[in-house]
Amino acid sequence: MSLYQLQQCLFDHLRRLEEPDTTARPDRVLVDGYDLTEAERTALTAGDVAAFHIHGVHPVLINAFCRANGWKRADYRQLFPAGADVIVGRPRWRGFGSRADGRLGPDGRVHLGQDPGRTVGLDLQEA
Amino acid sequence: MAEIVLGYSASHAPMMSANPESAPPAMRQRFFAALDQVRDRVEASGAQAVVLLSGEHFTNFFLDNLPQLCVGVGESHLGPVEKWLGIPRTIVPGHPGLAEAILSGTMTRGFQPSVSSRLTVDHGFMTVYHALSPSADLPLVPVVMNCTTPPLITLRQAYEFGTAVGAAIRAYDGLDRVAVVGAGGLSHFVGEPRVGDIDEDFDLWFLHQLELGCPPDLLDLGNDELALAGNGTGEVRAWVACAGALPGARTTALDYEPIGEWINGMGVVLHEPADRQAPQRPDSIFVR
Repeated sequence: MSLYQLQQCLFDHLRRLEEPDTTARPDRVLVDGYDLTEAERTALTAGDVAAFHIHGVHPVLINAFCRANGWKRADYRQLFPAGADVIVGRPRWRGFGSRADGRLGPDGRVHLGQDPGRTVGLDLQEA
Repeated sequence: MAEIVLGYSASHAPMMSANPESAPPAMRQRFFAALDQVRDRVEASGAQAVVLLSGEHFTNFFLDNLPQLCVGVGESHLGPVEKWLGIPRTIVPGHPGLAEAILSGTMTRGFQPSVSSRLTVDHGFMTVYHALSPSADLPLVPVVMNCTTPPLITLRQAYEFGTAVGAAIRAYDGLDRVAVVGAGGLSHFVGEPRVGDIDEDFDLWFLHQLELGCPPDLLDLGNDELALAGNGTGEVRAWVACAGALPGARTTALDYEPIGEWINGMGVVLHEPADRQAPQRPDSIFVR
């Protein structure tokens, strides 16, 4: 594992893309000079977002890489491992108000009513 | 001594400037109207500089050296770095005197921010700054906060840091009027399997907590629980810090829009100090 090197490579790639006169392509990551495993090298050259996630790449770097490549959320959400988006835990704000429960109206107003959800601590046991 | 004439916080989703038309018209119109409202208030206040707190996106720092807090003391700041943001890259004037007062003033109040004479300002600053000063002539003191890479400061620490920033500004005698702005949030998930989700319950609860004056229910929220609202949502630390800079202010949530196309809960909240309050309270999103 060389997670730091993997992330450094992505970071350097993103920085190159910011240069005013760059000819770098967002989908072409330069991997030479970094101490990477074969799996990491393959992930970088393929732009494999799911592999980035599995290797532990910081999501801010993944986000920036996807944005640099012009991928919208719908383009790359499906690339992550199935079931990885499960919600764990019930935070104190759950049920406070939303469009789904009608408290947030189409006019942008919020009608809290008498019982705007509970505000006690997180109950991880509900996960 | 400088007076903090106004504070506000706003979301800084890149799409608000890169592709604003992608949002439903009514939602984007309300959001930008709220930004216009706070800009007009700042202009009317005669603010001579703005202190803007925002999260780090690996623009200035990386994992080799990542400060929790950093004050930009440069005479100017280059931004935005993102070519696609829809905001021309420009040189934004800084205010070294105010910045150094914040740096030293927060140090004497128990914080240890790092210092940078050459900060770059990315979308985290420039989306909100551009809405405030389209001609980029209002001096800017950027304060970078680590909001995404653990270990993270708690909301209470963010609030107390903001309180120290506010006290440092008020102790500075080089200006008369200063505005404080928080940028980031509200809920969003980026670069991970829930990318695009928006936690409306959190956003409304959070805005309501700000209107209540940041009670312990908010400030004692643990970082693990906060993370359930999204891995980008921790940027609300900047909002909490802004609130901390204006204790006792009248706080009003001016707008909230869960804009899926911008993958972000978008909001604007206004803090009016007691002697700078409009005669009539601005309309809040919360109706009872």
